[in-house]
Amino acid sequence: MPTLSRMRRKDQVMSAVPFIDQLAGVYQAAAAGLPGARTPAVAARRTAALEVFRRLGLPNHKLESWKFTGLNALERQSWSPPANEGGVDAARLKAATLDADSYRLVFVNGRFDAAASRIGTLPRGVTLLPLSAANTALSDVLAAAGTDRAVSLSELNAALASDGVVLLLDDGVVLEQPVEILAFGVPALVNLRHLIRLGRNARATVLESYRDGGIAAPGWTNVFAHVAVGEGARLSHIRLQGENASAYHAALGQVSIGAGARYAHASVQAGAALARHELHVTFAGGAAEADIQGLVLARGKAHLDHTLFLHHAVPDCRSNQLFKHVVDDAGHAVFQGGIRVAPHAQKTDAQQLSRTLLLADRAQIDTKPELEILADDVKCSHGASIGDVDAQQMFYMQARGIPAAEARRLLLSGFAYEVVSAVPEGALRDHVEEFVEVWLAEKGAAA
Amino acid sequence: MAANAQTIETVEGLAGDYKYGFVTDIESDILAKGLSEDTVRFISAKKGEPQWMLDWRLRAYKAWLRMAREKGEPTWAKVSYPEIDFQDIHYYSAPKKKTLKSLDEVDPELLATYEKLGIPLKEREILAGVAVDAVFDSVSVATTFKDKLKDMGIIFCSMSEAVREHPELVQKYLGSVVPVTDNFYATLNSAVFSDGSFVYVPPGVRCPMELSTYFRINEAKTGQFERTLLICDKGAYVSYLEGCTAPMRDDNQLHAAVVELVCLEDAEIRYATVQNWYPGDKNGKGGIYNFVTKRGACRGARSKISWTQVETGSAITWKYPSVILQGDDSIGEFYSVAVTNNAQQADTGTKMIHMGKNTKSTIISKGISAGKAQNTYRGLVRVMPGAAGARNYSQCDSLLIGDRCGGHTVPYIEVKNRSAKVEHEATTSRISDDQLFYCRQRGLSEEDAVSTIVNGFCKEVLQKLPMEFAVEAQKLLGVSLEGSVG
Repeated sequence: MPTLSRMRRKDQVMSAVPFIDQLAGVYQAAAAGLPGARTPAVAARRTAALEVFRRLGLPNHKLESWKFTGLNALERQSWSPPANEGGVDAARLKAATLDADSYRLVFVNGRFDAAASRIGTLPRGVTLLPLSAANTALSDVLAAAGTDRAVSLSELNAALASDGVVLLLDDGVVLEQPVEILAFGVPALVNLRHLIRLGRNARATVLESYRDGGIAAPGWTNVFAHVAVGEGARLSHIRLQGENASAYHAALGQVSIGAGARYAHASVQAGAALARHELHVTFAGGAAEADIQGLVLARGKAHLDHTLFLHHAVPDCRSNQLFKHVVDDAGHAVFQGGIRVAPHAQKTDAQQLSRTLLLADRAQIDTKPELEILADDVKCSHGASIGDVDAQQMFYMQARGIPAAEARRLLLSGFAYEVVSAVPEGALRDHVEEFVEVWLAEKGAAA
Repeated sequence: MAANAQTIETVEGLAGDYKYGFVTDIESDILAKGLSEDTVRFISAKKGEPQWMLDWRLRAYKAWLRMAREKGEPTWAKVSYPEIDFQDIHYYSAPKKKTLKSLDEVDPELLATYEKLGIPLKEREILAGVAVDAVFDSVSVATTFKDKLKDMGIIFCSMSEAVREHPELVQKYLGSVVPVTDNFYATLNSAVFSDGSFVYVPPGVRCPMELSTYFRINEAKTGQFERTLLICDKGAYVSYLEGCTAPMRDDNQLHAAVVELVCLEDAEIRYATVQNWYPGDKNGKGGIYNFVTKRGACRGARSKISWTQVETGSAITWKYPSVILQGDDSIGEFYSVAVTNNAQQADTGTKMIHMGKNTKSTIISKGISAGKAQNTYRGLVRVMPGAAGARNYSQCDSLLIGDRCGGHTVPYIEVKNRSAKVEHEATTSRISDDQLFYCRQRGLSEEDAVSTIVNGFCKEVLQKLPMEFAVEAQKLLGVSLEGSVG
């Protein structure tokens, strides 16, 4: 396989090869080395997926769900498959890992890095392995996410997925230690695809982390995750995105929640030039619960997007959404939160809140909370607020002798902590808190 | 999902009969169906318009043709209806007898129609102090209180008259708020608009009475394309009422109006609408398609535009009264009640575009949905980079009655200025059993209970209506929701 990875500058002239042909080229170059390449059915699925992407193209502004986020910049870069070496140094790796016992899977340049990973012995009833080692489950994992035009990226992902995590829990299995998924790499087009499936009454905690490998060049990380939470199961799913300031990151998660189950999700986006985390959550059984929280920390020219579609398809489910945004410099935050309550999904309780702090004159936010309600016995509400740091709060703290910069940092920290506190207590929460504090401290240095 | 097989479900007892469903039988001057350049020329000639007006219309027509060819009707709203055949519509109809000077010359049948509608023109002149510019189908046939207004320098006349008498004002402001190519229906309106009202309030004048126009769609298969232009000069004030009912019809009638408001320095415009056109029968057959573009521009500093609307009629409502807040310290308000019952569909809301410093806007929207109706609030609050200190508060509540209706909220909030403060709240709920029980226990019938609760739900908006409208609107809410519970 030829090594196509080269360092690029942002201002590089537009490549002469059309975007879609470039990606086809990437596929050609990588195909033989992709998981399941020797299984005809898998190879056929990948080729078909690429065709779907070729037909649909990148999602654009004409699609309502992509109104605020454009991917045109992707077409101005030239793309290559992931590099074979480099991607992360020991210090960065260590800084990004959880300071506790965990099942750790590290992906460098879109490939499972066995040396950096630590899976150890697993309890009975647990399947945890990288996609590249999951022969039988492969077709499952590569299954299409839908036919909607908006899922073209997940089809591109199906064609190019070089690795990912497969986590399967049998009924009643409780995984005490968190599963840690860490991704680094030399900037390139990297496609990871995860499958997380919890059986009845199973429990697990998953931390997904996309980090800066230390090379500031435009890479494109395209992630697809399929999550199924079985009846009565509990999944705590934390996601951190802290890629380098030139990176592009697009992720789509599809989650289904069984009866009586609980899905808790916290997503923090603090890196990349342009990132979108899109989550589709469907209640498949009654009396289930979803708690979805998001935090965007945008500075520089970062464009960070959280898009959420929550489908109350069955009665008696409860959902809570909290999305917060701290936008500095010329940053741009986007939040789209759709709640759909299907006919007959009575006794639905769906709450949503979006709060934004704009810290600089060129900072901006676009938000679209959308309620589509087709059942009457429901309690649904959403709220949105946008403003600068409250002058009264600043005054209160300064009157008590706290310097302005410190007061501001404390207020921002408190603002962000509401989302951080949704993460299970202990090492995991400390880890997320540190991730947030590092970002806030950088601001302090700049101010 | 307009009228189709599934609507055959049990709907007995839902909704009372449309109380204003009658047809006035007077001879009308109707242009054959169809739309072409000749139609536009005909309308223009019929009205004795000058060349510049015809040119303006033709420009709009060409733009509309291009839009129709390239994109067709807008499809983003949450409403569905069979495709409209724009060649199957009459674009011009006028009552034959033209009467302009005194009421005595007005067709008696026409006057009787107003009686049925509860607008005894003569009485209103004296009692209510309301100057009525009644638009019957496409041509204004009676204008009152003109002389009194004239003394104060206020111009209140039909659009056709304004084109002839005040071309300098019309040329200056027509299309300045809603450009010719603004959207599909506004462009169509620009090409074929029949008539409408024109108001100009000179600097510093406070219009002493509520100006009012009653619109009425009459001749079958006649699209109504009103064009209203309201200009409030520096420091002036005007309050304008618009209300309407339409006769019962089986064929869908297209209505694409454009309303433009221009508000200069320190001026204030209040614009209130009660819309009660024929909503179609219980199965959604017939009814008016109401595709309206309403927009106001707060051009000057400290100007204020306030929209209040009570929307109970029409099969489909597609309407977003907006305010462009250009002047510093200008204020925009939007108070809305939208009621949909049976098979009605409403997609309505507002746009508040903050451009000037310290601009403020308030949005209060109450959507009530019953039967199989779909009610959508769709709104935009945009704060431009220059709108330092902008402030917006939005509240959108939906009330659902019955388990087959839908209530949707789609607010867009785009903020590009840090010093802006924007708050948005939305809730969706139903009339609680507790509330109903409480009312029933005190001897209210189920319907009265619902009406009381709904009126309470809409109170904040109804309070904003001028007195005589508030009474009418409260009755309307009750009538619109008759039979929706129980």
